[in-house]
Amino acid sequence: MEKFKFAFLIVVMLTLWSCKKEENPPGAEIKVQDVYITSVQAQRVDIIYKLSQLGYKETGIIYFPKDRPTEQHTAVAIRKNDQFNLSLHNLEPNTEYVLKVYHKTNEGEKKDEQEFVVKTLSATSLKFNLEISSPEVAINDGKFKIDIEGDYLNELNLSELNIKVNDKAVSIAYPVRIAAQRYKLTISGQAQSGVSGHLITASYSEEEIFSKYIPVKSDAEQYVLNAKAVNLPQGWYSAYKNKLYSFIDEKILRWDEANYRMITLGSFNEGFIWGNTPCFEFDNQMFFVPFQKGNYPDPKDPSKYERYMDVVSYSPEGNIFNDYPLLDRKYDKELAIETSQFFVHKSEMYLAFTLADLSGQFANKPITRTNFIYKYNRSRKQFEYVIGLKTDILSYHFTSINNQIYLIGLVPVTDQGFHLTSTFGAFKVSDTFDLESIYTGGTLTKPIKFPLKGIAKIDDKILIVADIGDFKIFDPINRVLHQVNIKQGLSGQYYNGLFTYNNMLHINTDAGFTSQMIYELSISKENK
Amino acid sequence: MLLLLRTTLCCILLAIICSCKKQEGLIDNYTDPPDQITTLKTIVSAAGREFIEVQWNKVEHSHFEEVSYAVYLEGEKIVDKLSSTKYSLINLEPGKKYNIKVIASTDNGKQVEQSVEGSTLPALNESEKVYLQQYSFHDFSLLLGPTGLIKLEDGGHLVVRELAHPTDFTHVHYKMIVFRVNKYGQMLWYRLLSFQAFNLPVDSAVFQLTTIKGDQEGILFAGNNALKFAVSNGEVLLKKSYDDLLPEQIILSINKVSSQEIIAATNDANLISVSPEDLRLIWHKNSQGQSGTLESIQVDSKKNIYSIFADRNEQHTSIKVNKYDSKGKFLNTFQFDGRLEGEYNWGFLMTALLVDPQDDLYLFGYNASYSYTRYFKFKADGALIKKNEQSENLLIKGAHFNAKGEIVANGQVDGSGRNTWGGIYVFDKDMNIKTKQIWTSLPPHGLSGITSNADGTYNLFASFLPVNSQYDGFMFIKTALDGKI
Repeated sequence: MEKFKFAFLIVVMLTLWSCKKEENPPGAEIKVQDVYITSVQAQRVDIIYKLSQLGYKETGIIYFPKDRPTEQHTAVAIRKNDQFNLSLHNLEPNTEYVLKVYHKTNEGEKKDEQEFVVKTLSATSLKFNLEISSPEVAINDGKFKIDIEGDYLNELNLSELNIKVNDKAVSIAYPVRIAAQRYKLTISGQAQSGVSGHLITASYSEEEIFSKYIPVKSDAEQYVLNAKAVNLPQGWYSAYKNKLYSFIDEKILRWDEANYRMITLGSFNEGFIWGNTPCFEFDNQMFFVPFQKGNYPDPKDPSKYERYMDVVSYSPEGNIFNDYPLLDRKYDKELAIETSQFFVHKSEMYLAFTLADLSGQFANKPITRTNFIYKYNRSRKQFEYVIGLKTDILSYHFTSINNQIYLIGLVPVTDQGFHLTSTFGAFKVSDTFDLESIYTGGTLTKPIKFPLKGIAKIDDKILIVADIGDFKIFDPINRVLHQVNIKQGLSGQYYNGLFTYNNMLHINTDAGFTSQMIYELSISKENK
Repeated sequence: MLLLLRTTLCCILLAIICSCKKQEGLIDNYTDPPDQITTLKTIVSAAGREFIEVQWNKVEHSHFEEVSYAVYLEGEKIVDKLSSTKYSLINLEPGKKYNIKVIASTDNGKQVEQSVEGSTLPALNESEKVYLQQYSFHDFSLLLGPTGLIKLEDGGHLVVRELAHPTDFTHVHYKMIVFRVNKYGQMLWYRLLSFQAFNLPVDSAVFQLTTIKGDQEGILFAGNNALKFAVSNGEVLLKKSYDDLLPEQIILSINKVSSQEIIAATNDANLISVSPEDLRLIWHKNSQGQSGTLESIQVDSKKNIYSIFADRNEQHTSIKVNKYDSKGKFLNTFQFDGRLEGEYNWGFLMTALLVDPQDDLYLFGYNASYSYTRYFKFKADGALIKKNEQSENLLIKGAHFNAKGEIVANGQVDGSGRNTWGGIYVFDKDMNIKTKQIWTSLPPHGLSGITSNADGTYNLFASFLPVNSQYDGFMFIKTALDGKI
């Protein structure tokens, strides 16, 4: 029996220990996220929102008429999954209300700084009681039809009824009776491309009587990203053999997960490496992104200064840095490193980077860019020049999937021979770096342009980080670009890299700020 | 006991019989009034081009049954069970007569009906229609800057503007864009051109357009270059640089004197004459000792050349017009006094010059301090015929003769804040203002150009702030008669 008691104690301790890891990072603030006012009626407003993390005891909305701030009311929200839902009832029609999210913790109540102002619909709307039962707008042959149901719609003086979808007037048919006093009124119009939803508003005799947002219908599957905040101290992280390293404040640090602390392994001089971008693991080294170095070949002649690219790596096993100067090419003026990236193809590591001459930017001159590809020679421990990439492409990334190299980035949108802007493009790349275009996003008039801040391989596809909160997946086999729906919110302004740790993809945001968060990412496919 | 019971029963029976006896001898004279409903009177209460609204009196039923209404259009039931006494019939054709019947009825079938005829308003005729076109070439580009504009014989226009775009692959932000629209303002083609190829700094851009060969070919003057293109499709036919004669100069104004000659004036008081056929230089006159800009070049019936001259040496630019002979030899400068009582003299910006078949000239602009209108009429020898004696608010930016020979001066009127609206003053030949039209009914805008149609309508090209409304960005608006919107 004593044995069982001991075992039980161990289980309880382990449980508590594992719970401890889920605790919020010390000092992290609870943030209000993804606030949506989903419906506005004459006397009711529906709201959904999220809180960034646990630690709250209660949350809800404090609201008051805008012109009478002393008349404050509170509505407590109900949590469903990770989302809070609530409805404000018994509101006054045609009145502006100020809404504020609050939450209570052990420390007390905190009101979110952001205020939302919403105006309830007019009292007239009560009579007609309009609603759209369909949760989606169906589009056929580029046209949409929406049925609006309501009471006594036959009584409407239709010449005074003005219905708009996304601020554009629509055609209105006569109301058709569907039950005692219930009528259906069908509106139709030309579908707008590129919109994610339809805001339907109706006014009668210039009084707003209806407002509702309906998403565009699509039967396709969509990728869904779930982000779970993980508890790591502040830092720029790189993974090596499933250990996390951080190169910060001239210190080499390793995360000791068991003891929940950072271990200092050594130091480096400031400016020696560029440690705020995740390192690339290869050949028992962690490679840092390249940067420019220079020297005076003749110490007596200060007018001559040579610049060259330099790659530095760190070998954790030996706790040493390795220097790989790319001395085969030297530059007589400072050039901007616009893109740099390591990738592995057929067990070989490549380095791609672009140098841009921005000196003409104030003279309204074209930008000269040169793209370089080097291959790492494992036996000679050096980088060897392979080829200069002969294409106009920005913000690019190479990746190798099933022994096939792909190149994605922003390619020119050309109108009458002029590069006017850029759009997402993808290429199949031969082993000799010949390019075959396989995808160009959007059209000349409506390109698909987004920054490619980071990429990761997900199965046979490429996950693209365009921004915190904007992820895409490019399927190079089927040549399709998907928008990823973020189910659980990511917060942060700055992207600080992707790394794989414990077989899970992680994203680092707002590194160096108190708002830094690291999330574990998982992607699944769901029906829309 | 039994006896008592019998007696009681007898009493009760007697009482009942007695009470019944009281109703005997009375006759029920009540007659149910006829079941009827009051009359129905229906009128057409309103009509538009696509709707007719009918209204009727409330019909009452003598027996207090509820009366509801049904409305028929051309015999087809549109709506029933109405309790209101007004209804709009929508989606109708303009200018058509419709038969509308209203039936008032009760549930048990009592009904009254009345038919009326109503007409929708007639469709707008061509001159009344307001055409509206927005010009957007890409989601990411924007039309900005000055506007070159010329009306074609078919009622369409050639337009030149700056196209701003992102600088992903170059530091260059702007292109020149030439496009042709038909008389409805619909775009037929566009052509992008490089500013660099025209030696034209974007911030000094001015575009001058003309056509030759019955509108088959267009010529664009920009910077110190000329470009000839096909009006049918925008194909570039010829480009000529005058950089050797006009280094770093910008052509500010042109005048097609004839099918053999175009005269151009520059920002450094140079004049050139070129052949429209091959853009070859015919003659060139340098600034002839003057320092300043020549704008709004005009030629009279004797081939004398006139141009507004803004003297660069003056601190506050005075109102001057230069006169040259047909080969560009300087003859004279006419100076006009634009000062009005109560205004400071901080100079003038004169913008438009016209010459009529009698060789009288019309000069327009505004003062530099308060943006008040200035206009003058003078003879070919510079003798003043008339000038404005009181301030007007229109900042005149251009002028042209309409089909009636009247002078249409166009410009801007500024309101408070950033509000500004385009407008026109129409002058008779004696420089009396006949009409004023300021388009304040439109959202604030900058009027980029205007041309007239023979029927008294106007074609406006205006830039609106992108506010996601009906008016957004660079647009074409054809007005109703006399410029009414």
